[in-house]
Amino acid sequence: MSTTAPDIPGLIRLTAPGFESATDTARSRMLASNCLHLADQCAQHLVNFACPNAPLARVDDTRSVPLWMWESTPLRRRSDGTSYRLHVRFRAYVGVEAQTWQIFFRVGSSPRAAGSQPRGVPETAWWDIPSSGTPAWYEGVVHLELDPLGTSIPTLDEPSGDPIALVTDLVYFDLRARRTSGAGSSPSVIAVDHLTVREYVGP
Amino acid sequence: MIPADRYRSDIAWRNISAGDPVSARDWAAAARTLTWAASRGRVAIPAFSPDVVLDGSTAWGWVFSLWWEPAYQAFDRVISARTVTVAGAGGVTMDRLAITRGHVVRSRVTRSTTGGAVDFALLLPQDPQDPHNTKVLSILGYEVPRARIDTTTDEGGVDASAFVSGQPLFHDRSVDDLEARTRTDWRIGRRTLLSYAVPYRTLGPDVNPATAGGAGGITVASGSWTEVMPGLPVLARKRRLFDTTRTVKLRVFARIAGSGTGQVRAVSSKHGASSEATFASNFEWSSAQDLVVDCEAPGTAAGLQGGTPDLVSVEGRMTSGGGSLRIAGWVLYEDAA
Repeated sequence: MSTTAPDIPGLIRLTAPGFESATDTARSRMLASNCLHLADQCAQHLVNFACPNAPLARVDDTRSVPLWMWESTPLRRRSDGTSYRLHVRFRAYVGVEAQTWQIFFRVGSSPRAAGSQPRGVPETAWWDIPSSGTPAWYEGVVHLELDPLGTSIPTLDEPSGDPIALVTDLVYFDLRARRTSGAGSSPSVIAVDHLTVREYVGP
Repeated sequence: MIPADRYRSDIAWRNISAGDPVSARDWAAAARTLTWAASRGRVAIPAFSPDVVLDGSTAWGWVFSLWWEPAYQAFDRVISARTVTVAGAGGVTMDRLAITRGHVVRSRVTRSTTGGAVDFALLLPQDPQDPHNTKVLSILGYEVPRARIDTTTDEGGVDASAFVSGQPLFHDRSVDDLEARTRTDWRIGRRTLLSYAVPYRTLGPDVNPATAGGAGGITVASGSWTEVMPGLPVLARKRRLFDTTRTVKLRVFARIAGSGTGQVRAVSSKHGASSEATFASNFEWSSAQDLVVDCEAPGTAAGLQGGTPDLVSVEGRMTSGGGSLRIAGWVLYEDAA
């Protein structure tokens, strides 16, 4: 999906502006490639942290529990209506070695009621966490079929302008865990202590 | 003013061949693509979790200092946090019934290209008879996308209406505009790669609000480099054809408690350490230090150079005296130049 011309993966700077000169095709391709390269590279780092004292999820049954939650943030959209790809990378470990878990990465559209847990959101991706107390890394690439209508938020059309509604792609994330095997011994815990979610335009 | 496309124009320039004129439609598509990219907003504070529990028996407000490098098109900012009430300090347990709270601050600011500190105060009113502890699950900040971008040099949009089929192109209004705005990449999509903060002061009826030299922050007293943040993957934007690395900027928010001098630096797992930031006795953001990191490799798996992430850690040390460093935040971002 990357639209940067494959032979020009970066910005090209002309040595002198071509004022009043005819526009040749080489210059046209260069400028187009520059524009597309800038569009490809406008992806952002969304989440990036390490937390040695990560909160531990505790469950008394096999329903999922929240590990990390975020307020909403905009995503970048490709021309095919899907999001830029999200590279998800995290480190997890279980607190009771006789248990196995699953970790779910969920992305959903705002809005949701303040102070509540997100509900009715399907898991976007999940990983099986084996029975081990040794921290291990997990990663994957996910993308979303974004709502064609986007999300409408209030803003201004310019700094001193009129109030308007902006249509953008506003989403929220959360990371949840569910115990899949092992008795409900006490404490029954799992932790995620590193997490990175990074956009890139993708192939 | 022109409307920013909701979608990036999916234009393929393969139909431009030598000797053929370039259609105005294609030029206009390039202009819209650039305007689209400039209007998309940015993540100025990638989401992070302050690794602290806020003790409700000692204060009702906690102040974080965040460094914000603005995009020059942005004037509408959002900083948000999500918290959860927990039973006790130290080890924190969440269960499936835990109710989290969202805190959102939205502010309109004067457009600027100059970075600066932003105080984010988390106010959690307490019942004096039953104070509670709070875990901050996340803090993040972003610049709201623009609905429209002006076509002036100041804002950086490109006027697609200057490209009209069947008429000569006026270079100074069209092609040269496009060229000038694609010569560098600092005005569009700059990335903040890392951001972190812990409270550096507290608020409350019995708390001195001017405790800029307070007890907040991560303490480092050792004379040897001591890691305060383990390695996290970062990937800067690729700027030029053969670039595999990019020099980014590190700033640190810290102070020296007691006597002596101390330093903080960031270390790339692939390219070594940054220059060192130094500090005074009151909390302040350091000057910007250079750090070389991997840049994105378009077309490779997840954009990684060599298939492996470049991990950046942060570490501090005391270089003289008997005091200690108090580190209350850091940020890693692409320079504006």
